[in-house]
Amino acid sequence: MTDELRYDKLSTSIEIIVAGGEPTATGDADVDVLARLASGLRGLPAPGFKVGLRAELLPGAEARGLGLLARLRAAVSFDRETGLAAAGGGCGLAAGACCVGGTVVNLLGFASAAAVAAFIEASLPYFVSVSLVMMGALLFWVLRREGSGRAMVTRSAIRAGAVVGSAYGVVFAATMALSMAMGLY
Amino acid sequence: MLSAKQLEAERRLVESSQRHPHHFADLYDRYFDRIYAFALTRAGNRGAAEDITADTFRQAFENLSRFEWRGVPFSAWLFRIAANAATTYYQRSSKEQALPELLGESEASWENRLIEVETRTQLFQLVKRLPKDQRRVIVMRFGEEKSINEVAQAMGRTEGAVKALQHRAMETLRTWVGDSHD
Repeated sequence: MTDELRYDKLSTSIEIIVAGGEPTATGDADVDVLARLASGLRGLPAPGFKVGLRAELLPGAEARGLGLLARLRAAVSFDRETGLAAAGGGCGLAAGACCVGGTVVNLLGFASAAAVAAFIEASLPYFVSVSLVMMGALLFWVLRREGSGRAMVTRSAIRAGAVVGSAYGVVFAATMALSMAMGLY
Repeated sequence: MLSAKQLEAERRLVESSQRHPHHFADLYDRYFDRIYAFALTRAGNRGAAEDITADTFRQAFENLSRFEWRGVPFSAWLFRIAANAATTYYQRSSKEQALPELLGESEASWENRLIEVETRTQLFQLVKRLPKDQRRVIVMRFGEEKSINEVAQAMGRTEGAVKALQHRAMETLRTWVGDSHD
């Protein structure tokens, strides 16, 4: 069965589900599993309903700033992967903070290159250790918040670990490259 | 089941909402999906589920000051309000029509109903985690009950592309939910 045919069959099953019926077997076991799962989405809350009811219950919330906070939260909200990448990048930056900080201090003329190089060499293991603990805590927090079932946690952990680790590696490498380019490491 | 720490956090949130009613927004956000899923499972259709959910939160908001913390989750109180709201809804909408299976329901069927509520709640919450385009398709298809053609027009894509996105979204949800639906 081609992919297009599968997409059509699932779409037909979903039409039936949304109309209130029960989809019949399509002859494709995978599509049938997805259709059964889709029947659990029948009646998914309409986006406007939750917002409208909240506004009806708490009309003063807008005036008190909650609406503004919610809007701000929505404006800066990321996809899960983007958020994880940003957090991983943040940990990478923490790991390389001594490199970046040392470079800035050297550029501003507050310390000699030799002093900065000595500082980076001595402190880098501590910064890396702290950043790894931060990354571990972040992953633990994300998985604990999202986890429901071993299969889901395992897949989620692998994916989250890959995203966070990649972002960490790229940002940390960039900070190291910066200090190397300046001859400080 | 909430841990002792989570229960304590919930107690603080409830007490804070009793002192500052606008903090009720946090309780609302926390329990909206679960109460809506309960109402949908109880009533079987969107319109009734929305009415029951709205009645539940209105009553909860109005009576929050009378709520006394007794160490059980706040959701137990909300579920009791929702069950009463469902009964009232059916009594109001049709004198002859009783709430389906309300009377004489066995403990086992209540257990199955709660499992169904939790499954739906989990699915509703997972939809929010889907990548943006997949989420839009699922929300428009199931939440707004739009046809493939309408979704395609709204997103500026071909019907084939929307069907592919829809399939991908369901595959993603299946992966997250695990093998429990296989």
